[in-house]
Amino acid sequence: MSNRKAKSNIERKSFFWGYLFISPAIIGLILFSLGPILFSLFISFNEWDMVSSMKFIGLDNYKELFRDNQTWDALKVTFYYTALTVPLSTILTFFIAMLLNSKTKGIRIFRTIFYIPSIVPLVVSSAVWLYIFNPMFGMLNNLLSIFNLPQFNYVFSKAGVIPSLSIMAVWGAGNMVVIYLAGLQGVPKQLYEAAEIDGAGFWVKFMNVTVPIMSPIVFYNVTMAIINSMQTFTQAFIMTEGGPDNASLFYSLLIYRKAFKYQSMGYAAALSWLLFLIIAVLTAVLFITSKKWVYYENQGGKQ
Amino acid sequence: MKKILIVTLSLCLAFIMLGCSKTDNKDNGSAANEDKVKLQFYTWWSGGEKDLGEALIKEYELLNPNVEIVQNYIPYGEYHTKLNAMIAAKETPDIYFINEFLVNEWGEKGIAEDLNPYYEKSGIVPKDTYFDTAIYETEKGLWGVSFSLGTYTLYYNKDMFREAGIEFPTTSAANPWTWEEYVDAARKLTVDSNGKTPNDEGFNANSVRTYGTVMPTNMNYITALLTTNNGSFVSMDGQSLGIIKPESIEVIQKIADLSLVEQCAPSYEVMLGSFSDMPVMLMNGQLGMFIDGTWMLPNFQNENFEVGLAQIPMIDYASNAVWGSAFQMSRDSKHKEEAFEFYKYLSDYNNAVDVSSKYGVSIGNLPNMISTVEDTELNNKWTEVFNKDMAIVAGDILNNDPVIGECTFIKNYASIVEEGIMPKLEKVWLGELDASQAVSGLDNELQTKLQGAWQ
Repeated sequence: MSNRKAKSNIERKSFFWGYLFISPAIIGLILFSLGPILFSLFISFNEWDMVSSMKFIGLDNYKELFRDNQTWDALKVTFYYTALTVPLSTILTFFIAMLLNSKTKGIRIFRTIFYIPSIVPLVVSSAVWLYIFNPMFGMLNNLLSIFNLPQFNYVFSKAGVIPSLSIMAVWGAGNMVVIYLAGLQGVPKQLYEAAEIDGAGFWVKFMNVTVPIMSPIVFYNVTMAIINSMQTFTQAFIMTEGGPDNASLFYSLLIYRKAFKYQSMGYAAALSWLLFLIIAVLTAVLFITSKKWVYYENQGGKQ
Repeated sequence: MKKILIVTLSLCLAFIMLGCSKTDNKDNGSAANEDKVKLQFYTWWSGGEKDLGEALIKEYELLNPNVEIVQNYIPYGEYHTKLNAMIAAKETPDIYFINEFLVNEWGEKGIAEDLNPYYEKSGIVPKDTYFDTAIYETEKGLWGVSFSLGTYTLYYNKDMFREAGIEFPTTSAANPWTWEEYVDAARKLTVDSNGKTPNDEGFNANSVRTYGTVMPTNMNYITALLTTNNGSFVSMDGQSLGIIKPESIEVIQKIADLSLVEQCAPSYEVMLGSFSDMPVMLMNGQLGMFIDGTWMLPNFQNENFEVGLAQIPMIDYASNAVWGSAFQMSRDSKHKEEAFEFYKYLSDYNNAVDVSSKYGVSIGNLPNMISTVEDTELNNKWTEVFNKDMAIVAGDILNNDPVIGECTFIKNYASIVEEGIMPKLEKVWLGELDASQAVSGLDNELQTKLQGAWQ
C-alpha cells in the first residue's frame, strides 16, 4: 500500500516537473497562437476597422464572402497554384534526391547547390526572380532571344503568372530534397540486395522497394507542400501585387488586402477562417487516404 | 540540488518575463533632454522628400530648442498598416502624414484634432493662406492642410526629340499638346531593332528597342487626364459613377490604344515587367516620354539631367488635377500647442524654400501657399531654388484654375476606385475588353459603396 502511494507521489512529482519544463512552450502557444486564433474567430462576427469600436453583425461577413466574386477568384488561383506546384515539386525533388543519393565525386557540392535556394529568404529570391523574369532585360528572355525562340512575359502575363511562380517554387524546394535524401539513406540495403538476387532491375527495385519505404516521407512532404501552397503570399505580394488582372490574387493576399489596405478586419478574419477550414479538410482527406498508400514498416505493410 | 534547480528555473522565467515586457527605457537620455517636449512624427517620406523633411525638422529644432521631433519614416507600402495599429493601440503619433483620401475620414472618425480653433488663435485664415485644394475641411472641422501640392506633367527626353525632329511642346499650361500630337510624337520615337518606327512598313512590334511612351495606367494619372475631357471616376457629389460617362470611357480607351493600336507604348505585361524605373529609362534613351507626378523631378535633378517638361496632353481642353497629402494632428496628443506650432511651420511652403537654399536640398512638389506664387519676393526666392522649367510649367498649371483631385473629397474613395474600378480597367489595358464593355455594370456593382462627398 505504502509502496504504491510512494510511486504515485513520484509520478505526481515527475508530472509537475514535466509540465513545468514544457510550460514556456504551452504558455507561448496559448498567448501567441491560441489567443489570437480565438480572437480572430470573435472579430469575424464583427465589423471592425481597428479604429472605431467593433459592431456585432452576426454572420454577415460570411454571407458577404460567399457572395463576393473575389473570394472565388482567389480560391481558383490558389487551388490552381497548389495543383500545379505540389505534384511538380514532390516528383521533381524526389528524383533530384535520388540523383544526389548516388556516390559520385563532389556530391556534397551538388547537395549544397540544391539546398542553397531554400536558405535564401523568399523576399530576396522573389526580387531576384523578378529580374530573371523581366520581359525586356531579363535573363530568361535574353537566353531565348539568342536562340531565336519566342519570348514570354512570365509573371507579368495572365496565363504565365501561376506556372512561373510554380517554377520558382520548385527551384526553392531544397528543403524537400534534404528530407527525401535523409529518407533515401535510411532505405535498408538488404532489401535491394534481396530484390537483386530475385533478378529485379532498376525500375522494379524503385517501384517495390524505394517508393513503399519512402511513402511516409512523401506523405509528410505532400502534406506540408499543400499547406504551404494554400498559404502562398510573399511571391505575389512582392512580385505581382496580385496582378495582372487578379491572375495571381492568392487567397492570403486577398486577406491581407482586406485587412490592412481596406481596414475590414472582421471580414478578413472571416476569410481566414474559410481558408483554415479548407486546409483542414484537405489535410483530413490526405490523412484518411494515407492508410491506403503509406507504408509503415512496424505496422506490417499495406492492408 | 532541488534548490539550485528551482532558483535556475525561476531565474529563467524571470528572464522570459523581462524579455516579453515592453522596454520603454530608450527615452532615459541626459537631464537636459527631460525638459524638452517630444513630438512623435510619422511620415512615409523617402529619398529626396525625406532629405527635405529632415532639413526642415533640423531647422525647426534650431528655432525651437525646447521641442524635439522624434522622426519615424515608414515605407509607404506599410505606412497605413503601421498607423492603423498604432491608433488601435491608442498610441497615435502627435503629427502624422496621411493619404489624401483618408484625411477627412480620419478627421470625422475622431482620430485627428480639428485645427480651426488653433488657426483662429494664431490669426491665420487658412482660406486666404493656402490654395483651396490644400485645405481638408468638413462641416465638423478642419482636418488638415496639404504639406505641399502635386500635379502631373509630361516628362520627355530632349535629345531624343531633337534626333527624331520633333518640336518641343510649349511650357504654357493653357496650350498643351493635343492627344493626337502626343501620339504622333510617341510613334516617331518608337524604334524596333531594325530601326523602324510604327509609321514604317515592316515594323516589328515584338522587338522594340525604344518606346515613345507608356500607358499612364496609374489611378492618379488617369484622374488628371480625365479632367481634360470633362470625365471623372466618381461624380462631384459622390452619388454616381463618372467613369461610365462616354467622356471618361473615351479617355480610358485612348490610354489603352497607345499600346493596342498605336504601338508606341509597351504592352501592359511588358510595362509591368520592365518599366518599374521610368526616369532612368528616359535618361538612358530607352523611353521617350511619360506622364508622372511633379515629385519625380528630383530623380532627374540629382543626376543633373536636363529633362523636358510640359503640361499633360489634352483630350478636349487643357486641364490638370492638383492635390497633396496632408499632415494631421492627433486628438490624443499631450502637447497640442507645441504640435500645432510645428504643424504650422511644416505646412508653410516658404519655410521649405528657405531650408532648400540653406541646406542645398531640392524641392520636388509645388507650393501650397498662395503667397509663394503671388508675392513677388517670395516667388523669386522659390524660382531660385526650384527647377526653372518646372516653376514655369507648374506655376502656370496652378494659376490656370486646376481641378481639385477627386480623391480628396469623395467618400469611400479607395473602396470605389482602387478596389472597384481599377481592376476592371486592367482588362482594357490587356486588350481583352474595350473601355465601354469594361465599365458597364459597374454602377450597379458599386452602388452600395457610393456614399457621397465630404464638404
